[in-house]
Amino acid sequence: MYGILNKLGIVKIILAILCALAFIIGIFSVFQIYVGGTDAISRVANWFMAQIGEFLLFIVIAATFILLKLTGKKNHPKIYFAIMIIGFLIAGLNSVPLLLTPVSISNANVEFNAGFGENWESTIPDDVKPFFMPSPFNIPQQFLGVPHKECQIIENVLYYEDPDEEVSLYFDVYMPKEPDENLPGNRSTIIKIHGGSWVAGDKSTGNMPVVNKYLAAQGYVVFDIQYGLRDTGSLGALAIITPENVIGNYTFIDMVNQIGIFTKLLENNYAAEYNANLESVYIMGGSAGGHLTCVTGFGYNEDYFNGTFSENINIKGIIPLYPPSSISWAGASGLLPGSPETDPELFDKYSPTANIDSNDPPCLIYQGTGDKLVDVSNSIEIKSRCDNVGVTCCNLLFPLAGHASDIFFNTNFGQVWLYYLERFLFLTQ
Amino acid sequence: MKLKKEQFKIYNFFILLINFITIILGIIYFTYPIYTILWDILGIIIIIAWFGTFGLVFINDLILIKTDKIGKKINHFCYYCLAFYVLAWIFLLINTGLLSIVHTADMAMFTIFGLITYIGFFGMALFGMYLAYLDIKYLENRGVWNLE
Repeated sequence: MYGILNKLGIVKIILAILCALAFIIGIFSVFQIYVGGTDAISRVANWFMAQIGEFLLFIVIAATFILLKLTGKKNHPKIYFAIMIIGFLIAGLNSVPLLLTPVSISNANVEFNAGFGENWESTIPDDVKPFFMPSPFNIPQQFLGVPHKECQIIENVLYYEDPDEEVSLYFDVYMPKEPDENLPGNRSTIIKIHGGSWVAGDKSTGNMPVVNKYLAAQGYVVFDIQYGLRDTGSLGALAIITPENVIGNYTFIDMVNQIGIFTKLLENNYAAEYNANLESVYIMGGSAGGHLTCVTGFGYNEDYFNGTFSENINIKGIIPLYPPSSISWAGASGLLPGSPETDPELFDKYSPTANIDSNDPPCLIYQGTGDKLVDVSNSIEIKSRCDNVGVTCCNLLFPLAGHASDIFFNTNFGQVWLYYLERFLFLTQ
Repeated sequence: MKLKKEQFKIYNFFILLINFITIILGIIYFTYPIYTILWDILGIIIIIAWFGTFGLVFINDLILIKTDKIGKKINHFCYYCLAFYVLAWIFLLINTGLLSIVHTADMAMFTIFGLITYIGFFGMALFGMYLAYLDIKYLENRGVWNLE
């Protein structure tokens, strides 16, 4: 027995098991990127797999070479070549989302050319360009990351309390470190609304804080806000970041009202306190936050929402990320009272597309084509409605990217998104 | 067709050099994290260095005589090299994930992120360089290589 399982033999067996594990993770990743599923594990995997494919590429290649060495070409030639083919196939398929980055960039350029004219890049002054990313993608940033931008952060400012539901809502504000008139943001205001299926999630960790810091360093004043969530008893994977103080029995109506209350407080108090420019305000949010972004942004000047929002704020842009456009199911889940049949106007007004009209400001959408939670057809529908009424809308489609695929801001999706986001903000101020 | 000793030597020098350049440019990248054209150059260089080192491990596996004492030593180092590469990419992946979700500028946390990134990134280059160095050092030894 000892002869077979000597010290070196045990090490080799452990190595082989670890390499096989790397293969299994690689295959799981390939399945999630190209096929996916609707179960809870697949939903979470959909967020990450396309983003970490390039890391799996190298991990699987290294594991393949270890297995090749362990097998030996002369000892087991058929197994040797089988491992080689399978290993490189898994690695190659995991690398496709990264290799398709030029397609993402090309898509974005087409959208910007259509939205802002062929010469949009030349309209950005030379003294502003140094503040922006010089290229949509670079490899070191992908693998090594980039340091956070420095800015001033004030956390947990209370803006709303609901004693009946025992709910209190807070916001964080991200501002430039020092006042600087030369910064491209010109203290324009960005209201950021987090995602989480309207039942989970949070500001800060749950809402891309690194992007908030990046934009604040460019001169924007970013308000990262909480809103009341619907208590369904189950928070899923986002339970870890969802605080108890935001969970009540809220509907879309309450959530939009709370955002409205924030806009009024912004006008009356916070704009002066944090030196935020109300002549240039953006609404931005992902997933459920993308839906609320659309309802707020496109509905801002609708008669239906009279009195809901501040009347002295000038919305310059609407930035939904992977927004769901259909909410016909909302009645069944308690997020709207009734049903589309019993109250068609209510369901219409709280859908992201119904309020789009020719007076609305430009819109920038982030959408992964591999999104299994919010299908790409949702963003296409919003884009189509905008096009029909003549509203500038750039729908940035990222091939094979899943839901929330901008979470890792330094990966290929996050880099390309940030490159066009900062330009959109500047061009529409 | 067997690989010629001279060709193998040149390839090893190439791996030695490209991993060395990776370290130099990496230090500049981490010291001055403001975009310059060097970032794009570093991007190309690190991809060549990583794939090049894989290639060197693969060639070693084909031409090393593993029954020889030195051959065995180099063969074992190839295992360490590959195992470290796996670990290094896990480190880089962790860094990417954590950097994206933390919001505080906690120095301790950033130091840990930095540390695992430096260990992963520079460690890979050092492993690649040392493997090439071992090959060059023992290239003239008889009975180690199955070369022309």
